[in-house]
Amino acid sequence: MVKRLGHLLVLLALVLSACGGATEESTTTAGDSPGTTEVEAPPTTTEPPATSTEVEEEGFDWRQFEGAEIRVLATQNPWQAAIEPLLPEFEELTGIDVNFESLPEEQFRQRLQVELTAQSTEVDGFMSAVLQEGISFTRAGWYEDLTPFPANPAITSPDYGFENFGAGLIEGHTIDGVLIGMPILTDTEMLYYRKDVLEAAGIEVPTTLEEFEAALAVVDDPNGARAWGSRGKGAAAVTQMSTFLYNFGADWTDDTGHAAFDTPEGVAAFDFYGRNLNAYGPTGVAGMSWEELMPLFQQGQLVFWNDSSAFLGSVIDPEQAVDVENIGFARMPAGPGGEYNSFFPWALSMSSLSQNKEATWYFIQWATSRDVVDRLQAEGVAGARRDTTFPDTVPSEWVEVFQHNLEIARPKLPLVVPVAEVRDAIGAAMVSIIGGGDAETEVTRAAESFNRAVDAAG
Amino acid sequence: MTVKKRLFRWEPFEIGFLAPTVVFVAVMMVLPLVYTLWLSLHSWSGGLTAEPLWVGVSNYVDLLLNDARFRAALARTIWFAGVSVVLQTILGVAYALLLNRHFLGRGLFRALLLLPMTATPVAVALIWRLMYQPQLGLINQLLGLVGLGPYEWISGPSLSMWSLIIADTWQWTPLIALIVLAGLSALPTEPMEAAAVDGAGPILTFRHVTLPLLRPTLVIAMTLRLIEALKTFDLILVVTGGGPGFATETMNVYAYRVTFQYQQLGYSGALLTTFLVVIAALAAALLTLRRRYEAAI
Repeated sequence: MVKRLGHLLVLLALVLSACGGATEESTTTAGDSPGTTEVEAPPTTTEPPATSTEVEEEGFDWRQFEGAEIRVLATQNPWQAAIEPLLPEFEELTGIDVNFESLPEEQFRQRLQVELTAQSTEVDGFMSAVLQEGISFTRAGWYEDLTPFPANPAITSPDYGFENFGAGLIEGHTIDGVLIGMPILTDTEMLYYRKDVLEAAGIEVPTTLEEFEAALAVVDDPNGARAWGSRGKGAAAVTQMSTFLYNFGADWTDDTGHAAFDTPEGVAAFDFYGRNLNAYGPTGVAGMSWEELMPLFQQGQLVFWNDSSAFLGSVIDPEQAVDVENIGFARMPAGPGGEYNSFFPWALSMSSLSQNKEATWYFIQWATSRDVVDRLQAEGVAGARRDTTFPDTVPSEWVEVFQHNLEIARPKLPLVVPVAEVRDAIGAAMVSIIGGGDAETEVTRAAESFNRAVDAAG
Repeated sequence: MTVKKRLFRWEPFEIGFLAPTVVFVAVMMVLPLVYTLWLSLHSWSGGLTAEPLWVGVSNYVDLLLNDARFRAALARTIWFAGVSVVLQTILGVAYALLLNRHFLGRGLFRALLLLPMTATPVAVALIWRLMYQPQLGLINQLLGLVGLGPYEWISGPSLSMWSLIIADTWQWTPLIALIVLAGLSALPTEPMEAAAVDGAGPILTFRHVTLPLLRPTLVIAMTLRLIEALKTFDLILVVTGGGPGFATETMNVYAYRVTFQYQQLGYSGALLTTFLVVIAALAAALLTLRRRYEAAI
């Protein structure tokens, strides 16, 4: 089951590359790559995005559940930030009252798990990351299977277009026959950087890890802007580690699902990450996730910052960031193991204990409708639909890098059952290495904990 | 002659008055305890699809023999609580001694004494977390003015535990000070006067007269504080989250992670039951100490 998830998620990356490419000259079709089951050309024409009132189809009753109240739990991230201003439109369209609660990711996860473990009926919809909790939540029976909903014309608008979602992505979100949620966001690892700093130092954008390390030494200013920021905060940092791991030629797991990152290549990757963050990163980087690093980058305190591509909107917003004309978007540097990237999808799920399932489906349906996804894509929040585009307001450099990344992207997390536990173990190793610990010792210890957790979970 | 049997030596109306309290204690304290114990003998992921599975004592065997993370967490818990309580006792006694004297503004100081204790622990933790932030936090900024730092208060493995101890001491020293102040006021003045007559200075008086008289009070204050310090959760979760890595992961934080992140409710039941035994043992040891001191006076 876990392996199947992995294969299908690779498929999704290929299928997704068809989305958003309609206005660019060279588009890739999903049928290019061998072994895919999708042979569909991407749309080559674009229609102007419909406004929300045009979404109403004659004959489809959007106000069927008028007066219902639903509660949706969300994590604070670019999708949440982009959709919250649009919520009043949904409430006006359907008459459904949405209690949208958003919390920072750590607190969101804690809150959600506590409520679901307590079998609360107060949660209707929630954001879910299939790579993180897909398997464990499915085993616990907390997801409502969404498969019958889009197929039901009584509660799904004929305009919805379920077939326009990348099949690989839908399959990647189907575990044990349960469609765990509708995909709302897919990100890849983007290298944001300050063009003016590189120009002033007279160096090109690094394309290999060697060049990257050399560049860090050149642009670092211990009393001013530090050269590199990347997550160091334990479990949160594991998603950023993936790209480096792959580019050094290692992988999280082997065919048996056990740790494969304690190979010499893997140790080299961890060593590279920790050593360079220690030398060129901001003070206290071992306690920082994107919530702390993004403001630093926005204030010009970091030269290079790699994290989710979905932060585009915040990074180039002149009200939040300084000097936005000088922000560049680059591919992640290639390494001895090749050039790879990594992706992380988010979905909108329904609680199996919800008392308002149809009303919640209305919300999910609206949030993943073509019109809404089009508007979110203007902020760099790449959705999962193949019939949407990136408008011209999105920097073409970002679009080009994003689509390139998708083609070579692998999962940002190991595909195992006890994801939270192994993330803690690997994260602890990363924190130690950033603090100056020996990479081999720490990685070996993390691999042992990893295998213990995987074996115990079965 | 018939002997009239009475239930529990009590009249029915006495039972009626006591019943609500008994029921409350049973439901709120005994029931969760029994449930945790029962859970610890099972394996359960807390989901809707699977029932708890009986595993007997294997959770305890795994815990005590195979879990290095548990042993580390227990050690950290005892270290954190021990250092905190010792620090708080020393500072608390000093504070109480100061407040026992008469000086202008003593009333104001006594009122201020209580403030840290009355603040919500989570709010306190959030403020400390902000102050500990390496770039923008108050502490590094102030230290930077005199050329010190910047320090990694909550991201450095060795420093983070001390950061927590400092925050805990700030909030709970007043509790010990309050208890000791009460104890000081209840002390007879004759022994101190006798010592002064004999020519003893303030330090000698404190060491040989005041302190021995104060010992029972001190032991109570320390026991109360130790039990709470061992259970500290909100401060640690908010300020460091148990990090960096596992550097500040104490028993409660570990149990929280195991329950709500790893979804192993049976195992965490065993964790918590073991922890309960440890706390009870430490508390019992301290109370035995108190009895010994009381007997000696």
